[in-house]
Amino acid sequence: MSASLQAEGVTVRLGQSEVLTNAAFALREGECVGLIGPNGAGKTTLLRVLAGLIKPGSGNVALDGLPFASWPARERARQVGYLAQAAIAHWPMTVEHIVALGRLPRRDPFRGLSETDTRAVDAALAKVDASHLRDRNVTTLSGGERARVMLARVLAGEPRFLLADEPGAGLDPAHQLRLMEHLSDLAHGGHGVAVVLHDLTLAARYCDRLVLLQSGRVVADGAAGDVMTDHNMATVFGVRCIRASQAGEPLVVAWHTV
Amino acid sequence: MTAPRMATILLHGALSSVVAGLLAWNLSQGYVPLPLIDIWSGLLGGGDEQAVLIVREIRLPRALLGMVVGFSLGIAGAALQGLLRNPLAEPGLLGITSMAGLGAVIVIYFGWAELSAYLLPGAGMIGAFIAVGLLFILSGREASVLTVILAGVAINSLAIALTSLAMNLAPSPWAVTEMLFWIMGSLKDRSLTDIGLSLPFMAVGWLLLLSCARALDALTLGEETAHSLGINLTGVHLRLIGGTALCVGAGVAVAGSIAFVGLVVPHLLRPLVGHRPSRLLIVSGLGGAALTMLADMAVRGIVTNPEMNLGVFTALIGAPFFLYLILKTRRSMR
Repeated sequence: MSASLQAEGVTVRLGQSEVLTNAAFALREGECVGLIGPNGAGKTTLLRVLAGLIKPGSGNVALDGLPFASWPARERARQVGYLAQAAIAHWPMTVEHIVALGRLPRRDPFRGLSETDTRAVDAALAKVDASHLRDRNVTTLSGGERARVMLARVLAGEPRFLLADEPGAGLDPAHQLRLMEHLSDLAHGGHGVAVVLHDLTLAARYCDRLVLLQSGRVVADGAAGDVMTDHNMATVFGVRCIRASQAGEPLVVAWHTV
Repeated sequence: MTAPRMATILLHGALSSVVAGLLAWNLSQGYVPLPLIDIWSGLLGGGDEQAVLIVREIRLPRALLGMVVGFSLGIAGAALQGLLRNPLAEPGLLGITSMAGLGAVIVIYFGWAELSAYLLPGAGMIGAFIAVGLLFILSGREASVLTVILAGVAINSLAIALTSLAMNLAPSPWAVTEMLFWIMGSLKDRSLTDIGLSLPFMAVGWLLLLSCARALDALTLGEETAHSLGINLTGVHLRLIGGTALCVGAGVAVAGSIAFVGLVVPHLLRPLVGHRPSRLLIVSGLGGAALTMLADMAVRGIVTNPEMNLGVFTALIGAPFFLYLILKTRRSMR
């Protein structure tokens, strides 16, 4: 079994409704996978299942071929990092302390931050272009700054698999592009990255593979060209798109509703 | 050594010195003036017989009790605020103290206190445990500040109603006086036996709360993210609820309800530890010990007849402070 994060036949019920039905998903190291779909399609739920935050009613989730249940929580946390949607901090701590929380699964329980921990925090802050925010109070940051700091928090844990739920929400265009570059660089550096996206062009440009969800089901899984077909865009999103290509990279924009 | 770690050590050192200083000062103050040398020899059990009696039987238990109960209230307040991610959470405000008091009152009402010395602290802790558990269930996992406070108000009202009922139907005026003690809170007329009875429970509570230090930091990012960082939420919740119940329950059982220490102390000290919940625990414990001893000395210093109860005094100081906190945080706490 290759190094991967895999879900098979996953069904999740929340109260009366089934939010995920027989969903299959695999994330390998070295790829960046985009999860797309309309609101309420089950993207966040799938990501939470993959992060081990919810136990599916039926189906299996496995990391490196071993069922999730057989992984100790701390060990699993070292392998899989999770960035929640609109992540916030409840206390006005400094950016540096918030990012250092990402080291929790790797830290010696009875010691302070080691050299390695400090280096990982520095590197994570540098990666998201937030080193200058280090001593700022996290609750005084702008939305975009906070989103970057929260990404740095996950990166500081050096997870092999990174699951990010709309990390680009609230970022200005430059930081959105930079964020996608980071994520795709991470993937090509050997990490497995799964990211929920609403921007179709960013998804088509930066992701190696796209997974399209609709009403809790995976309806397409493959290269951008095979997933973002006119048919899928019309039946799943209810939109017609215009497409173009710039230096060999795709541009996809929802143009009007059908 | 890094600068922040140095700062933490300095802060711990400074607060410990304040606590030690207050302990000594506490021993030297009382209704009977005693020279320092007599206090010292009294403490060691030698010298003047009256001095030995006053120091060992009256002043030492009172000072020590103020220290350990204050430490418990301070650390429990800090832990509760971290658990609920709410700067207004406090054992007294959320009804935990009144439920612990209710436990004690029930034991007195049925005359069970004579059966075993452990029944009173036991009932206090059970009351506190029920209160923290209820609070946690009622307010849910990602509750708003308002829900948490409302749940606390409901628990508090229930505890007060049942306590009033017990006093209403009390078999004798003596029982009413005894019950009133739990409501008003005081450190007077306690013995070293009382401390010996309650300290082990409080100490276990401290350890339980301290074992959650890192988890409390992780909870700053919300429960879901804490879980994704490998924190076992169920275990952490149980330890925090159990630890708070032991601290508050054992404290109330021996000293009655001393309000607002758990609110004022963490609030004042939080900026000094960079708002980190893990660093706030011991610091708040020490701060709580200092504040409680200081308040108890003030109670003895303000001459009233009979002596003003410590719980009444802290409530008089704490309630306006709570109002100020609401004013200060009302914008951010919707």
